Amino acid sequence: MPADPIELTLLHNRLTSICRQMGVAMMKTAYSPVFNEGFDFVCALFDPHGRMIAQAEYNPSMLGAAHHTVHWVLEEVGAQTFQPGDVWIHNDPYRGGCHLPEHMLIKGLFHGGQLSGFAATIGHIAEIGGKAVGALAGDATDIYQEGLRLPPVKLMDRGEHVMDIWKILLTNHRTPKLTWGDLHAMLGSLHIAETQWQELLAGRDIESTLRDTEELMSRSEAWMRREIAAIPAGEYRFEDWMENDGITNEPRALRVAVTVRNGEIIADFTGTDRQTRGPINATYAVTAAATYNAVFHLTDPQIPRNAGCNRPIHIIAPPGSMVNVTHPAPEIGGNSETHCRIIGIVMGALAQAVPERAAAADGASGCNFLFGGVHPDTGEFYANYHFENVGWGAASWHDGNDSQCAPLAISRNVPVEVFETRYPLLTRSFRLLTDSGGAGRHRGGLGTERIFEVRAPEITVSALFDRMQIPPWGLSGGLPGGTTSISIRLAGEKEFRLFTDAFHTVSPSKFTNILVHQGDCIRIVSSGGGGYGSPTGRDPRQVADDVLDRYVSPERAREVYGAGSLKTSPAVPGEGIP
Amino acid sequence: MTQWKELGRARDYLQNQAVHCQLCGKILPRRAWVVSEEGCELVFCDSDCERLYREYWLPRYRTATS
Repeated sequence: MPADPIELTLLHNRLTSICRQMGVAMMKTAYSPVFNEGFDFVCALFDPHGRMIAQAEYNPSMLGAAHHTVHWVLEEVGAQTFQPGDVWIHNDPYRGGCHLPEHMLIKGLFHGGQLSGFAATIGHIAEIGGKAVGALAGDATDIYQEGLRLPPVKLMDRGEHVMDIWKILLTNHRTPKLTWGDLHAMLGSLHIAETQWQELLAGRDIESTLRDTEELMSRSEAWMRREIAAIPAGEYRFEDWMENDGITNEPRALRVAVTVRNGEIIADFTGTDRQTRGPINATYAVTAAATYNAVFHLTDPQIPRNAGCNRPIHIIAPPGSMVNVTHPAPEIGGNSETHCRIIGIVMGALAQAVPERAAAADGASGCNFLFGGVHPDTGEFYANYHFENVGWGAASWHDGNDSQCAPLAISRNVPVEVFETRYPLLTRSFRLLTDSGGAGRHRGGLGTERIFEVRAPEITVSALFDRMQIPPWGLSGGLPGGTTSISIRLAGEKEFRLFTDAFHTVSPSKFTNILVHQGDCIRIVSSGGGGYGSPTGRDPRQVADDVLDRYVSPERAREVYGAGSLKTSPAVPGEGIP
Repeated sequence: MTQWKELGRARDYLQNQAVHCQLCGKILPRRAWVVSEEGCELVFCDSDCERLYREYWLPRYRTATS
């Protein structure tokens, strides 16, 4: 008998609700700001074959990767080895993972003694050992410098801690208390899934539930195929460049040919440059997640997100290239920086087919700023992974969003109050950056400028940025957005300088373990989004509003938009303090 | 001839080399869809990757690689 669509919708919503509750538990109990403020995690449910049946709207980069990571674990250890209370942990990029900080915990869901599915979470553990405090070493040359690598191993055995594994983890991470807390938040999240799964199955039998989840996946697949079939068939090419790999200051090309045919999409990355010596290489799971993400942006957002909607999307990622790294190359920036750019090139290719649905390039850099040291107030070692939001690209129907997490994630930035409570860095200023949005009929979203002052005798800092030299592209005549930068004003100096100048780093955007001192100020600028359509087509009233709001300077309004004499709003109290 | 074949690679921690799908490039954890053809073995994730290899990859790249 065909499944009732109302019943299916209710089941889909219930499963999604379970995933959302898993996320709320994680957010409320995790120790690290990257979890409880940044939402850098994902929660999902899988059927006994390891196919994703539901997810919540957390980090899309991890969601796309989870499909492959879970598959690997089940292939390697076998579903039959799971016992009630067992939890496996896994973060190995060379075993189906996305990048080293993303740790997956997976637990079997049992009903009546029978394995009926899996719950999994992936979370960004902020400190994982390796050469850089806070991970994301911008100048790593192999994976062994990037942190502790875990193949699928049991973290919990029938509900008991496997202390040998915990000891290895806690010994190798610089902030063991945070690791302990964050992993237990993930365990709590899995417990919520287990409890809710039992409640769900208390009201229905397992066979019909799994049959209905199968039907949900089939319907998602059919819906996605219809959406793709509505895109004009053809082959669309696009390329963009990573500006350096942290080791040599040379740009590296990412290339894609997207073929749309018969309700399928083939994203073929053949022609992308070889994998690099530095850490901007992406794993296959990263490239797949980025491709799904771009296609999801251009198709109906109402399609239930499960394994079905991935099926019509095929990825060809040549091994040994920047989009499918092979051992032992470093990969940690592949998920934070290159991931954004892969979304962008797939979007840029498909924009040729459906320009009215696509957006110009977003800022496409996590502006990852890592730091740590001994806190002067507590004497304890701390470390943090900090990222900035960027401007999003404008689209045919609206301006780009200002200061929003790059599309690989839905993460929030950490509030200044939380930041200053936990770390000896004072935020001297934090603002939207005038003129950082690419000009256009619809303007790109604005990036930000943040200035920190060091309030400890010394702090070790690292950076992994991109988009410092190659700006986010505009679309349909729109102009590029603003670029990123990270610079330092040493105590007693007047001007900010790039780290290449102040510390002789090879790359201005990727470096590791620089010691900064009390009174030094660090300035981080995030990139803006590209504009859409010719700037001369923008409504003059919108240009005037932008100038009044200081989104656009009077000079730029005159030069780029052809506006007459316009004035900004009066200065606000405290403006210009840094 | 086509068949599922155990690679055993996932459990082998003594080597770092991986086996990749001939079409998509994904590392294969344990099982592969193996096609024997003209004395060669082609390794895929599954029959869907083999289908795309024939429909998409071969017509496009055979000349370049032969």
